[in-house]
Amino acid sequence: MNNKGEILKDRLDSLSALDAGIVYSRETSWDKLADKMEQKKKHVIWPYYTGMAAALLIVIVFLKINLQQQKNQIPVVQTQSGTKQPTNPASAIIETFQNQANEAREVNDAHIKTASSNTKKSVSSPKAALNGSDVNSNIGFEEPIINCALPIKENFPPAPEEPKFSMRLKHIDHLNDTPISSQWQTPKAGNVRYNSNWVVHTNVLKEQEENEAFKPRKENNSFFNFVSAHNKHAAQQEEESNTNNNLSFQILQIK
Amino acid sequence: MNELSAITLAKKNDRKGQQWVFYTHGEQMLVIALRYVRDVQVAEEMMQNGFLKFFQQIERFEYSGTGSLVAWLKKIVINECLMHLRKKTIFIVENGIDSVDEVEENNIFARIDARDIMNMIVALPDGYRTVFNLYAVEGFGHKEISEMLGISEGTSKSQLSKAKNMLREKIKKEHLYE
Repeated sequence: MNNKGEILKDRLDSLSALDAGIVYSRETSWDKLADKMEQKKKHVIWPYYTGMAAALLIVIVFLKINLQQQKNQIPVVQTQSGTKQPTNPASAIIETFQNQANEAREVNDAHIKTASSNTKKSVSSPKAALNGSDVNSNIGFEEPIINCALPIKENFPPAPEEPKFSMRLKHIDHLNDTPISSQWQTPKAGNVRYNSNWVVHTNVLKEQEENEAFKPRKENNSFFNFVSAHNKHAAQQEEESNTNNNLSFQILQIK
Repeated sequence: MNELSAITLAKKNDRKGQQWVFYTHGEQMLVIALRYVRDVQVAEEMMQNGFLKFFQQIERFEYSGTGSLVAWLKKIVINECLMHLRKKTIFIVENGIDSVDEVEENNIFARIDARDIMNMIVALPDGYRTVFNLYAVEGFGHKEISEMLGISEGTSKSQLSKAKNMLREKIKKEHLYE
């Protein structure tokens, strides 16, 4: 600093605000400065809290991704038989997502069946049959599927239900069975079995021992009507043969 | 309360300490700001911004005796003014540098009233006033001024020369010095 500068500087610095022609109130000026400092503090606090919130959010997201990655890494390692490990976390994440996508694609391919225009859906319904060959019978109506190439995800017809009979089987007495003494006694159904091959024992039905309570249900059912008729017929034949045997026995005794 | 205790309190973000510093040196800093910025309100704003920065960075300030606080504050306020001027002042390069005898000039300023000098300086154009203040009052060299204002040394010399010529004519015109 030169000599001239110092002289001028000293003279100018010695000036007061009033000398410079300024009306200056230090109290008012201080209030303005205090306001500015308060505003600065608020501006400083806001980024602080927002920064903290952002950091917390980042930590939460990172932990979530890390947990997800750990969950997904276990099957990946097993499928790779432990020989190859992912080199970095990013590749591990990508590999995991790719495996999941492939699995999902395989499952979808297994379920999706594209319906062509020729495909027809047949619906089976239960039907009582006497012979085994007649068990798998169709009602006979065919419903064409929409003529479009769109994939139909659920193209499985409902599984054919087994024939359901809501009635009790007719009671057939065996020779050693105890007779039904009251109407509340449940008849035994073990001697009638329905299968692909129907077997009906040829014991004689005793009409007087039938439970009267089941009659209305039986009469309305074609299957029972059939069994009843069949048993009646068998009983008649046996009765005839017995009478024949008795006659022949009497003839032999006479002889 | 003395200067050291006020600074100690201000370092603890105590309002009383800060107020004491402001009340003691605010007016002087306003006059310094007014030398660079013509408008009183802008000068006051520059002064307040200077104090604001000082209180924010007060941890970096080390008290080393009387005058150190004023020097520190002055530096900050002048920087604020220069930043403000740099945004709007265009320093025009003018040819021709008049050589003025510095001894003669020194004698002239010594005999003129400080208030008149202040008024003459404030009346100068922004570019002339800034360079004159930095060179003739603050004592910076042209190289430093060129770096501070982002201009060439030649521009700084030219601005200073024109400022001195203008002041000389004004002094002669108003018969401040004969």
